[in-house]
Amino acid sequence: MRNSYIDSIYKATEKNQNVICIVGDIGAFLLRNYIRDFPSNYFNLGAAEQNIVGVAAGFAKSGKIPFVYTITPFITSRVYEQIKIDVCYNNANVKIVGVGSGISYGTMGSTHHTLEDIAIMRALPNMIVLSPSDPREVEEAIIAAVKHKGPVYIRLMLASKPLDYNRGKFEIGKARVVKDGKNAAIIATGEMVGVALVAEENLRKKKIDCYIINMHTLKPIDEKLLKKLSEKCKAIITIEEHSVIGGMGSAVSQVLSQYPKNSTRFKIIGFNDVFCKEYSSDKFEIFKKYGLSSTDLVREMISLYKL
Amino acid sequence: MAKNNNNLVLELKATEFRKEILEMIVNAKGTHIASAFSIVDILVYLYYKVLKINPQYPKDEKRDKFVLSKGHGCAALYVVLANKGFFPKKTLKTYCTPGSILGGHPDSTRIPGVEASTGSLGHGLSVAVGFALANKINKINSKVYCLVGDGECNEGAIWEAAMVSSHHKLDNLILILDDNKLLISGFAKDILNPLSFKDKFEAFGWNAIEIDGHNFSDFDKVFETLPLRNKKPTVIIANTIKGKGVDFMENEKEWYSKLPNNEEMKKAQGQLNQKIDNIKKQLQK
Repeated sequence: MRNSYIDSIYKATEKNQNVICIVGDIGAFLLRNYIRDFPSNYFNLGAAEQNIVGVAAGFAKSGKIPFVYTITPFITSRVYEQIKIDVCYNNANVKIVGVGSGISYGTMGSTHHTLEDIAIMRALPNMIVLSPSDPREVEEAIIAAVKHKGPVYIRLMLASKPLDYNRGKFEIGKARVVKDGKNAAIIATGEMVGVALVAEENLRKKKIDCYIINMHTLKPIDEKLLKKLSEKCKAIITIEEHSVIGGMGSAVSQVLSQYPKNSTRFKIIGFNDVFCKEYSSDKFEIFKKYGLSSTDLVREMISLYKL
Repeated sequence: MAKNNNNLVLELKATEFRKEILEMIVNAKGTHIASAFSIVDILVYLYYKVLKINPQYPKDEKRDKFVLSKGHGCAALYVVLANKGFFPKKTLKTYCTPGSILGGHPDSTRIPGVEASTGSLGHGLSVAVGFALANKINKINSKVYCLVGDGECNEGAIWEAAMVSSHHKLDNLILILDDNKLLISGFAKDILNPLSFKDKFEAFGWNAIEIDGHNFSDFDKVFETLPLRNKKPTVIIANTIKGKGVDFMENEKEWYSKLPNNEEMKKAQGQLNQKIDNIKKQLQK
């Protein structure tokens, strides 16, 4: 996803000279072509993230479209008040791009993890929250973010694998039905879409035909689709690389619990109100320790479905 | 002589505005009278003598921009903006009441002439840096002015912004520091001593100059020569008095949030009226 962002921001600036690329002292090597070709659109404002967000708001209110890019915790929780006031309260056209979200920096520990960013970003009025599933969807998300006038938060992982599914048009607020199903659904976001696709194959063998939903927009969430699924499905599971508190599962639950025709069983899978204390350069190894692997997902779906 | 007369006119405005601010805040049972009084002279000088702005075109892209980073002083800004014609003066009567656009901290999405929503300390300077950088790349020659409080400089974000401003040679950025030396709970020197703001900003690569923040002749000397030096941002450290204009409010920490009782209100209005009359008499001469 990181490389895809670098390519996407280059293309976006090529098309629209108002796009500004601000970084907090990361990515200089990957961005070298950008720096060479768009020197006046590039600002490395140092590891001073509070200031970066305010500056971005100033740029936006001067007609620019600033994309602020750095490691996720430092551009979300560290600068939450700047995002709340300078960006969202001012309704400034700023795009916050966090790279290495969730536990992507698997060897670096909790200082570099973000298992709370969806929760806090969702809570801000005016904010759109995007969580692409693979490199191609990163590009689609960036194009959509440039077009959208107002604050957008984009949650990126690092080196994610491309996924193979039918796409159709990317639209903010409209989830992608990656696979049609019958009476169960797995709703996933980010790299968990890949995990869900692996689980789906195994569940099919057990005669559970699951919808797989790629919830690339976490706010506004696709209420229409969720309501439809809640009427059709016996069981719905959400899975996300995030805390079970306040994330996608909470957003889905907020819709389902207030929908009178909802008749589904429901479970949220994520990090269960804990700091991730495992280290590995392969995040999928860590997922196994916290119940977020495809095997865990299959087991949970069978258990919920056959309850 | 002409200049002195001009400054006397500004002094009259500032005194009349103090009275409007006082009455507006007291009517609404609002707060922050002393913080607003501290900056009235600075705002009057900026809006009547310095800023290239047209209230008819508040979004003109070539306008000078002013960011009130210490948003709690906004009652002063509202009175100045209304008197300049950014919105009707009758709007001031709605201050801090349901349905009003004017609250206890300024909202840029609703108030014409307010460039940034502020209220939490340490935000406005960064936004002003964004304006100044955007002007540089858009080749717009206008200036960006920002006003921060001395207590606000406790916030680390101010110093992040200070570093970026000098690194990017923002000579189109003028920071005015309302140095009234009084925080909420007492004097700055006893709570978190800033030592010398001048030394600090100079160490951060700025031009720094100190003035009397209530003396328009002092303002004249500085503003006529801005920026003090090319390729550097400028900070004007304005030595001010919190509560300036009403003697029993000056330099007294409780007036940060206190509202006057009837007797105090009459006394305050009396002092301001007397000053207004005195200035008018001087002008007639």
